Amino acid sequence: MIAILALLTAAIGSAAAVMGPLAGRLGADSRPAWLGVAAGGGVVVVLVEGGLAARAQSPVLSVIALLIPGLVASFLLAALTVVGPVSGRRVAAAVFAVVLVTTATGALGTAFPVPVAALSEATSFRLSLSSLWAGLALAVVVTALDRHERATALVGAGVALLGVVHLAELLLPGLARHVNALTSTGRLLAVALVLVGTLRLIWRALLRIDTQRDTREEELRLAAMRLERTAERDHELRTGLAGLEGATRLLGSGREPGSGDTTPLDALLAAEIRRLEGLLRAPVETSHERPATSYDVEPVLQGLVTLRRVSGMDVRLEVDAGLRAVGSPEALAQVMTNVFANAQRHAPRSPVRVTAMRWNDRVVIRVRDFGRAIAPTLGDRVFETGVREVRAHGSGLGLHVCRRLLAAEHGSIVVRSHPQEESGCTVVVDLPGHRAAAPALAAEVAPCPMP
Amino acid sequence: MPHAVTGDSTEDGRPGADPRRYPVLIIDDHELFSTTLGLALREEGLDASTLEVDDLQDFLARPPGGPRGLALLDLDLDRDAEGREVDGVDLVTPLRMRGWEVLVVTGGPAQGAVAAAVAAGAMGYVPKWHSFDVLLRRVMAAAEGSILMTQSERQVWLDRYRRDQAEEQQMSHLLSRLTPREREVLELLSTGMRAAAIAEHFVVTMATVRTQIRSILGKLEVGSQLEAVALLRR
Repeated sequence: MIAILALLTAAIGSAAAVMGPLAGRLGADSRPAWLGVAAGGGVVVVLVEGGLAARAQSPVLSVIALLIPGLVASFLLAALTVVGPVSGRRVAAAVFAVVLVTTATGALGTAFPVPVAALSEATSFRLSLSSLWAGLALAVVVTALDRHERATALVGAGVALLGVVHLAELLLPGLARHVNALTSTGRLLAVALVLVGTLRLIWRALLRIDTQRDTREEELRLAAMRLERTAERDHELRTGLAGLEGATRLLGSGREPGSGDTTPLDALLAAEIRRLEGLLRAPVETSHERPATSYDVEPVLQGLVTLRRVSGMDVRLEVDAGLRAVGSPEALAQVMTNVFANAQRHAPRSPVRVTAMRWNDRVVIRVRDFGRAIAPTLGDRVFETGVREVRAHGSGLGLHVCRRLLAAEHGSIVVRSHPQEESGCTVVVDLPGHRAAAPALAAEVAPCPMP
Repeated sequence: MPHAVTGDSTEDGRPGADPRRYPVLIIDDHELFSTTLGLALREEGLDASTLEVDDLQDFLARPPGGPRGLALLDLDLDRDAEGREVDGVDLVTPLRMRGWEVLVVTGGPAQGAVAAAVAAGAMGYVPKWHSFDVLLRRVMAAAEGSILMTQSERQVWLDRYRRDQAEEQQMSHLLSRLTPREREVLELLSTGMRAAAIAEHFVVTMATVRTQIRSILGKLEVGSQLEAVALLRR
């Protein structure tokens, strides 16, 4: 029975000794490496002492039995003092040094059997070595617990338990049978603790590496998509420039456009330049991680409405005083530009009414036109974006982009038709509002005077 | 916009329109582009008019046999008034059936749509980002009945189209292995969302999303998120 326990202890102990440096390497922490080697030493000492008991007096074995607790103590000291990652070369050097020192002391033991025998008889010396072992291991446990590193503390506790068992054997030299069974079980428990702790460290390190790889892959994906969007935008800009080139050439020729074209070319030119400017200003990157800042809604809308009015649209604006929204004003400007462009396309020459108001903790902007009504069943599908859409090429910035921009800002956009009035539709943009600077009562701002 | 002139105007018989050249119909949602090109073509004495995306349905609903000519078709049309997405490629066949020659233009970088349009019978392709002169010359050449695309060039586009078709089939086969939720996650990934944001969106833990992403990669037989997203966007 005890032989089986000893065998298990040796097997688990050597596994822990091998995995310790691995855990140390993976976790960029030298302690598991030193603790693992120390646990290995703690198991070897049993074998040496067993051999000693079987073969009575052997100067070599007794000096090695003396040496091992000392080595374990020095490993524990290294675990307590050496900071930072451990290199494989360093561990290999330490193991080589251990072999060298053990051989040297073994030779020393054969050369001077008398003082070695005297030293191994001195129980106080051996007791102090083992106490140092247990004490240093406990110190490792305490520092690890202090830093909330439970897995490392577990490994340290295992090594400490090994030391305590060793100490107990020295204190009870009688070695009655039940004590022997107890110490064997204690050792098995100790190496099991070391192994479990080491495995937990390895597992956690692997998870961390996994997460890092996922994060890197995500960054790669986002970077590639930014590049792709930049390429799309470049094409869009180039297309716009080609159009501008053509238009300016026509303007330069001094000939008036034909009677069928009532939209003045210069208005179109101005609109196109603004669109291209907007494209350049809109961030190419995905906007999910922008910090939440708040901004005044009124100046953003006022600027856009003025631009529209200059290009001939009949627009009126009403904004609640002090209305602030959370997000980026650029996104709102981009969305509203698209909404206006859409209104102009689908309801040419219709008056457009824009209202922005506070609704609970939201900001609601309505853009009402009086052009053709859209089919009520289709209302929301204007914004739908399916896989097909994602695969569409160079789609520019349409209404589906509005929806995406707003979703990133925790806002939304819907279209409502007015079937009972048989004309026009209302686009409702909903944004998260900012409470702080807002007065309690929503005061209406007078409609801006027409130019 | 009131400058919209539907297909009828080809019968107006503009003064100076050259009867030896096809009338040109510009179908493009990019207002400045269509207006400018229309003006320039008219200056050159061609019978050019524009057709708005919103009027496409009416135009195609008319029985065949009306006037015919050269249609300059933008492949990046947005949506019509009823919110339906309009794909320029789908318009090539109905236009051809009405006897129109179709010259496609595109402002986007993707070439797949051009290949599909050529396969559907488009006579040629002009990228919009070329200089305006090049564009004008090519459109005029097409209106005069020149052949813009050699047989071997056409073959290259057709090969490309066949390859795309095969890839698409392969892709839809791979995508059909995904569960609805995995499909949603992949779509969100392809819009540029971070895994953390997706977890927040579906109110699940980060670990769940990671597992889903791994499962997606496994089912799509790709090694990285980037490849998975590229597969969907292709």
